[in-house]
Amino acid sequence: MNPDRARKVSTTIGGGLTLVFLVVAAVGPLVYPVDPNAQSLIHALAPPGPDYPLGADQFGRDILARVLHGARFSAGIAVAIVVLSLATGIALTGCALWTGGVVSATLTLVADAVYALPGMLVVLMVAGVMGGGAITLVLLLWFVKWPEYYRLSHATGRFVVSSDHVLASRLAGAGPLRIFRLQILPTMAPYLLSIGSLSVGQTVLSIATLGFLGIGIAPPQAEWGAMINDLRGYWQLAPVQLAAPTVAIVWIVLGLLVLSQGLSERKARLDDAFS
Amino acid sequence: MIWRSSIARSLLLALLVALLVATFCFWVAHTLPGDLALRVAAGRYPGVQPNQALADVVRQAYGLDRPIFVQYAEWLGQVVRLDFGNSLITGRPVLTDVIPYLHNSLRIVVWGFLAALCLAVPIGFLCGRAPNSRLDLVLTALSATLSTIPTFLLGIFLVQFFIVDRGLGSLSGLSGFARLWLPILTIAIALAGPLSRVVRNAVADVRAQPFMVHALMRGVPERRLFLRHGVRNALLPILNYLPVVFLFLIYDVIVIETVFNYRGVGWALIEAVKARDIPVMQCLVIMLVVFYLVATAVTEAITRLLYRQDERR
Repeated sequence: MNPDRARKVSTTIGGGLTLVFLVVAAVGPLVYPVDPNAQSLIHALAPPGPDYPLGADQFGRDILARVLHGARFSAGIAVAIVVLSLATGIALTGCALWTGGVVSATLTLVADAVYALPGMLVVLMVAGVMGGGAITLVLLLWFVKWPEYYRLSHATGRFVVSSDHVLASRLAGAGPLRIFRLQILPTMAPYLLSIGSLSVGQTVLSIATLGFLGIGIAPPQAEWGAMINDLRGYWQLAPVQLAAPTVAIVWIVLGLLVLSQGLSERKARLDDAFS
Repeated sequence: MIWRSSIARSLLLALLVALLVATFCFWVAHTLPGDLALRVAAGRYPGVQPNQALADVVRQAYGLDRPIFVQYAEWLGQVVRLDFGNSLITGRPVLTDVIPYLHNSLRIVVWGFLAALCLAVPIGFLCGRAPNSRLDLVLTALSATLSTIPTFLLGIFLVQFFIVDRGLGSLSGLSGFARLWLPILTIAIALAGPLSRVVRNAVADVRAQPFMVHALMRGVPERRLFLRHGVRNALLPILNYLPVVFLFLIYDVIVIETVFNYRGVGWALIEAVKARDIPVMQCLVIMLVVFYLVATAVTEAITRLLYRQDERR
């Protein structure tokens, strides 16, 4: 397959998977308005049927409703984290490129130190001890993730700053904000888009792993990793119930991986155009 | 600027990371709701019912009423001397509790890492030798799919498939082949995915280098060419990637030990976090971070030694 077509195919497939997922996460709980936390012990581990489309868990809670609400929870948190860290990384890059010198060197050193931190270990410890909740998770993962974007945008932006079109724009009287918006940001965008979409998937995985370990999520909250941990003892009795959150995780992470692959090949063509 | 020089910069970074993690450990202990003195009292005097009077005595004796920065400095001093205090659960010194966990973890980590190398290097080499061949596409797709499956799902699946359904292995005890082979295999599979892709790209890149193509065209046998010139050049990106592998190793060990109920460092960390056993948790987190920093530093030193001439040029 030629690379150009491969790129289109993977962007389409990945984008499609992601789009379907996001729509389901956004509208699903409205179309299927069943309380994900309503227990009914006589229906514990009920097989899939008219009352429970995907069966019920060991407390008789509706699996479909829990998967849908879990999608909303995970996707919402992951997107919030990535958008926040992306914005932080880009803004700090702007500061570093504009001021240069000591500020730039110090920012880079701090970013490198936080980047070298075993981030999930810190998240696990703090969220685990503090009891967690969505806000804590977002703040912690934001702190851990921003250096990734800072490093990337700084690395690409540094070269653009010294290029001729930036100089021309400066001579034409453009201010730093305008130069950043019109000259520097467009060059970084493809890289950041590709890494960002991959990173949303990674964040979903991290949240699921934390949920599985029983950390960072308050119990009644429907969350995929926690659902899998609850149901893993009932493999034979409740295969569909266990499969549902599993498929959901693999769906979104695979979709975002394929999408970022397609976007990063666009980046590769951009590299060719520049060299 | 001094932190531009790379060895000084690496050391400074390692120091900063260690300090950051230690600060997090200290901060977590102090922002936890409830009276810190009461918890310390329970830890230092096991068997005594903790009460307000005892808490006040402990507050005086351990200086918990002093400014927080003084306490922080003192705590750092104790950590450097490996004095982590007593476990709040067992009442024993933290290190005596933790050493056996470390021993158990090392057993599966070392073998798991070696097994991952044994899987990843041949697979990556086969793919990189013929990039975009059918074999390469199939194996790359496989490792990409594998990397979307979180480690805990992989572990659960393998436990079900081998131990519960087929009885090949056991989930109790701490040693023996039956107990250890599956956790080791899980670590190996989890790490082999990303590692094999790095090996593949390194081999493919080296193969496409002009000097390699030139030598091939002059008729140098491929095997000799690769062994004499290729390996050295392909090794650099792989060595550079190893710190990331160590990081994955830490995360995977935490998850896998929980899935397999294996009493190692990762399992103990999750237990300590859930039980709010702060001293044990601090010790384990700092230990894991030090392991990561030392492993990274050793890799960096090896890289420097191997490629010393290149740097001087």
